Amino acid sequence: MSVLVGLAVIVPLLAAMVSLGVRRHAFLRDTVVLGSLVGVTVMSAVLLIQVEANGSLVVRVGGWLPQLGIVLVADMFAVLVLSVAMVTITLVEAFSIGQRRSTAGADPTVAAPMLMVLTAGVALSVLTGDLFTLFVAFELMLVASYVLLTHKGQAGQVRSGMTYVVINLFASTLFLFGVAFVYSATGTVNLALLVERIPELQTEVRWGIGLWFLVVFGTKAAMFPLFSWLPDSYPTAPTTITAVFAGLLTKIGVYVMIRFHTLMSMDDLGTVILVIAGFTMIVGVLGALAQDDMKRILSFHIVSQIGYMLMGLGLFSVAGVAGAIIFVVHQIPVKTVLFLVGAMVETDRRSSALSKLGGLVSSRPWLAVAFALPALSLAGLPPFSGFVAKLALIDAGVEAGTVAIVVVGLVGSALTLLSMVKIWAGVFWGPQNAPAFHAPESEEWAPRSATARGWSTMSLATGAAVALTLAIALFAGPLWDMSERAATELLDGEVYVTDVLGSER
Amino acid sequence: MIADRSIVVQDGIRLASPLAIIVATMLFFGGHNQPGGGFAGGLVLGAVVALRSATGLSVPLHPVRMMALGGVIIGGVALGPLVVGDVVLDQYIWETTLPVLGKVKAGTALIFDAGVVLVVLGLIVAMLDALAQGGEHRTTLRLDAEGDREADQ
Amino acid sequence: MSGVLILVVGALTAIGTYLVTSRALSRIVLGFALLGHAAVLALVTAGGRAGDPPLADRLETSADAADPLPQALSLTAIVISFGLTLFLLALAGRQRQLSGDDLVEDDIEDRRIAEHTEAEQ
Repeated sequence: MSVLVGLAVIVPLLAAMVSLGVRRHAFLRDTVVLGSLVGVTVMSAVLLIQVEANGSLVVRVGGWLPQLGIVLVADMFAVLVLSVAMVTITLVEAFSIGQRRSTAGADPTVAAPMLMVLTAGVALSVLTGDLFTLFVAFELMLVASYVLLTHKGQAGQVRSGMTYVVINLFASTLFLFGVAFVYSATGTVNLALLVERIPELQTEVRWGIGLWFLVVFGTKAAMFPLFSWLPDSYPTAPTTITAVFAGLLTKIGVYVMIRFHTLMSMDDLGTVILVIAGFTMIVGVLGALAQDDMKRILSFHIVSQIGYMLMGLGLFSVAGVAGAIIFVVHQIPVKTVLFLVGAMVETDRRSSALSKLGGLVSSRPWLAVAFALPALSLAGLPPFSGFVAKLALIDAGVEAGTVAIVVVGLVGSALTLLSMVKIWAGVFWGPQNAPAFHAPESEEWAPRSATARGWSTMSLATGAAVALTLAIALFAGPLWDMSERAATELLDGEVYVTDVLGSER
Repeated sequence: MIADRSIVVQDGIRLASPLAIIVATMLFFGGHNQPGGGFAGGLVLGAVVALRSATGLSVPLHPVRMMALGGVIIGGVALGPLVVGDVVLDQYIWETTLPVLGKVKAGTALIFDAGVVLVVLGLIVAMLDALAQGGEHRTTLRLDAEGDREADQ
Repeated sequence: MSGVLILVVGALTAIGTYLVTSRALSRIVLGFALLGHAAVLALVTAGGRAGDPPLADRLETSADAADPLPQALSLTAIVISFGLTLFLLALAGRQRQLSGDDLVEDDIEDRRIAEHTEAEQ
């Protein structure tokens, strides 16, 4: 079964190369990309079942010892996030195949192969067992995202892409410095060996390493003082691309932060992380309230939701970290589906500005439902997945006696609901004040039959994504058990070390 | 192009090309146990290609396909061991004695490196294409118009 | 030896950071090139004292070979920064083509909000 761990990284990379070779043959390219994505999704599902039943799977790439070589570790946390991420990417790719007919979509010849590179980067950063491979995985992911963000070469995209590239590249450089610090302090970059060696360091060095990586991963995750690049760049990309970014990139940042800071027992950074978490929640949601473009509101929400995950991490208790994990699992599909609905609105009305939209609830009732369900989930209303995740976090916060962060979290939730209502009122209610896309405005638009077929593919993919968010609420019980187990493993660290190093110790 | 007019530069680069290919080959084969390898070899080739493109000499075509092929080779070598039941990226080494070369040692790492050469070379050529397009031809006027429209909105 | 390297790392980082904060993309590219060198040097320094080349076929003859792991890591880092520099260059070229120069511009939406608040005051 451990074969699958390596395959989950290499298959997307191989598919990226093959689809790059055949990028001009639409059918062949889409088959390769979608086929491999479905394959990887199935693989990660099998991995999830396997790991749930038999414990972690570890692969030593090239047969090297963990001290020298690369290890891939599929533990509970990894496979949980991997499965959700892969399902989500597959749905987005299905959606974008439908969207190819419209001008709002991405350029398929580059976008599809780059999406596969991104997938490989996500899989590698989730599965990797050492810091340096994590750096490589981040670069893989970010190079793909740089290209996806700017490949259309329009003025707006190049402008905002520049900010994105410069800030993320700077964070990557800091990451590399961090690797150098860790190596000179401990003599290894393997996470399992670091679990043993970092707690033995002096407090100052340990704090330095912890804070340094908080900044590095925090920039990728868009936490409070380091988020300014996100709302500028995300809304300018083609909306399907933004859907992937919104669902995955920042969450991978949080994933890595949870993994690193829990495994390295950085408990004394808890207060710092909690303060940052509170600011991230409130500043993000206030930013969202100030905006009047659907995509920009949703982009600010990404920032705000990151705060909740950080809150769970900052508590450094099993309940808190488990809450953060289930929050990540819930956020990936919810955020993606909201942007997919945004893409459909944009295809329908050719705009995402609230002032130009309205009345969609009568002309596209299903779209309104597809928005309302994840939006309520995002705000954390029962019985949706957001409620489960937020309840877990609030519960953990009360249990730990940190009332302040709980209050901030609840205020943030209320404000989230308020801004969702703002989108709802602007986009779905009120009079129709923009032409529907059935009235062709220019010759750019494909013949109607083709557009209609594309539309139904898009609807199907969005529907499936909504179903996924509902399924998370439905299977909250088993998911909570898995999250709790993952959190226990992370906070203990001993399980991870034994899994990776085995009998060599 | 500046170098178009200088026959010395042009001929110099034309003469240097095969030399650089020899150096690249040496680096490529030496890479297993000595400094060098696929990336270094690919860079030397890339440097020659960059110089050739600056002087208007012929350069390899289809860079993206080259990258894709290189990537597929790398992926294939990575996945190969799985078929036999070993771990991903495991490598195999063969040793034989040939008449002229003497003892020869080669492994699957060499095929992997060949993929790396293709990727590096393809990347350099593709980037040269992209940069040349920006400076020389105005093939992207359409995109410019699109960008302006977006800014107006 | 190591002390000098650390000073070099510091100098490269300082100059690189200064260049990266500039608005011209061509300087940002140079800045990242310097920052990349600084990070790689830091990695190499992290490997400890310099020693004999850690080559597989000479290991038997050498008692104090250098630590090979940071060297492998820095090689990978060099490759990555090479690719990213190319990409940044292409982006800078594109920006020059679109706007006539290669300066990083303000976000339109930000500027709009700033104007909005100014108008209110």
